[in-house]
Amino acid sequence: MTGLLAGVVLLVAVVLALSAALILARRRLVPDLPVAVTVNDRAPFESRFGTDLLGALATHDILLPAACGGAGTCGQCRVRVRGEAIEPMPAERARLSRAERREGMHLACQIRLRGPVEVELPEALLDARGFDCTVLRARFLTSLIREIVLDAPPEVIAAVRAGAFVSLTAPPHEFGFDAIEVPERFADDWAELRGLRAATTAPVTRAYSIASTPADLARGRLVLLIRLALPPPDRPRLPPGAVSSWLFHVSEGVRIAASGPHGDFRAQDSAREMVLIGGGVGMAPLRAIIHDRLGQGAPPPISFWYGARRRDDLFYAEEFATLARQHPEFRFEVALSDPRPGDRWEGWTGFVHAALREGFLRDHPEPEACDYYLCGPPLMIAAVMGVLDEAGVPSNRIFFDDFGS
Amino acid sequence: MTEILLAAILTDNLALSFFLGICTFLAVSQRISTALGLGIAVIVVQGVTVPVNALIHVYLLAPGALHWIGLPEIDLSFLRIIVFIGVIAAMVQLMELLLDRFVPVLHRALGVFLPLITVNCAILGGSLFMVERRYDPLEAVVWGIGSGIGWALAITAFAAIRERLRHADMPEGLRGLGGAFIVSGLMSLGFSGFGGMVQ
Repeated sequence: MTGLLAGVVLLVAVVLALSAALILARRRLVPDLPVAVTVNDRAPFESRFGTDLLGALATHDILLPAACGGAGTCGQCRVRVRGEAIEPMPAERARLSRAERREGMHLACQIRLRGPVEVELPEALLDARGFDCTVLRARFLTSLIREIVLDAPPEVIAAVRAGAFVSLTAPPHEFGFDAIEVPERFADDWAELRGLRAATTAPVTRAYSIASTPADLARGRLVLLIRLALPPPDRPRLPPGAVSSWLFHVSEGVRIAASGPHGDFRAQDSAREMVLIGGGVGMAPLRAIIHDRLGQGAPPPISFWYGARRRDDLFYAEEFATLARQHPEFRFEVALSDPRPGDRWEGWTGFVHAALREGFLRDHPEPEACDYYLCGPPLMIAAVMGVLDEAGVPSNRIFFDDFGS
Repeated sequence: MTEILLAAILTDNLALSFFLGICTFLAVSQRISTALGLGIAVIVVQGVTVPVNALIHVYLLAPGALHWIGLPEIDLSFLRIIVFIGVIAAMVQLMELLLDRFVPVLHRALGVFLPLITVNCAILGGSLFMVERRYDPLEAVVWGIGSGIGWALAITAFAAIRERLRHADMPEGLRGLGGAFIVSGLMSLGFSGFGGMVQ
């Protein structure tokens, strides 16, 4: 009996002593102290020791773009830290070039506040605000792409430049894909997706390019193209994309928390010929840029090369065909990589980079004197970069928005 | 004392003679800097937990250890593993706090392998060997630090070899873990050459 008692007392005493030691150590090493954060010579604000800079800035309404939500994989939340150099984290080594690291660039999500910091941000980012918007309209464009029209406050609309993006935050949710309303014509494609489930216990944020035309903006509308992020075919057990699934589920009237506009993908201020190459929802920023330039009057020649798999994957094609009829300086070309017999396709067949090479670069007198805007899946961008390089286009004439969809 | 130190580092090397702590040994040996960082963390954890566990063993757990409070007939040695693990867990957590505060880059590079040394068999093995070999608390300090140094030496040397092997022309199937197993086998063979050095 004494043995049992002694054992229990001893065990409790050891656990208590160890816990006490840890609590003391924690109090010394992670003190709950205020830390001053200064942004661009503005008045400093207070944050808590140990929080990450991205979150600290967000609580003070400075919303940096962070498509990955602070995991260190998107490389968008760049800040320059003044003063004493901080050693870069592994994620920063992967995302920032050596020159950028030398200048003190960091990813805000990787910095933990251990003392007062001074950071520099582009002034334009400080204007990006969090705002609420309402879904006005939502419709399927193809089986996996949904167009969502949001109303946004006038000050947000006024800040939108063609090519910019906004970040949308999906609240915690859980639903099965059988709850998503799919139009009759896509029912077949969706049959095998019905078993999927989307679930998240924390809010998740993702970035979406704005596809609004100047006319849309004038009516206060943000048009976004959402591609449903499905698990890769070789890993079917992974969950589908949290935000895109939720955006496929939302109906008209739902309120969405957003921030922005962000981004520096936009038309250059030049009179050079513009060539835009896109695939999938890479359509979004390119559509905004095309409408914007054509609406300005006396635009340079513009050609838009769009790659899809088959006719069912095409959307907005009528709109661009009409634009091409109205504007002789605008040319619209589509390449289908895998047209079905029923498509009766007579245009370019094959990948869009091959069509661009055959139909544009080969016969163009001066391909190096055009500006190229690329937006689409990484593989497409890589292939197009390849043919542009072959044609002797210098890399400073190429602008791209690579969002891996 | 010298014998215990030499045995801890060379002949009884926890990684290469007993093959303890091999999961971390293989996982965190891609780069010398990270391996060295983990090695130092293990030296510290080992250098503290083995002596602390030795004191706990001698004054609290061993048969008759409690005679100083008048309970000489009580034997609590069956609590050895749970208490040792508790001490190790607290020590590793302290280590995590320290690294996160002062060497955040290393903390991020070690990732989940730092908390995993809580259940690293090399660490618990160090304490259990100490009991089995009846080291007194002073010898336990030497054994603890020595066995930590031995493990750190092994993983750092292993990481250095792996860093160079990355550029070697190895058959496709042996790249990565396959080659790593062969290399650790050869290193173990090399360390067995120290056998007989300490009586």
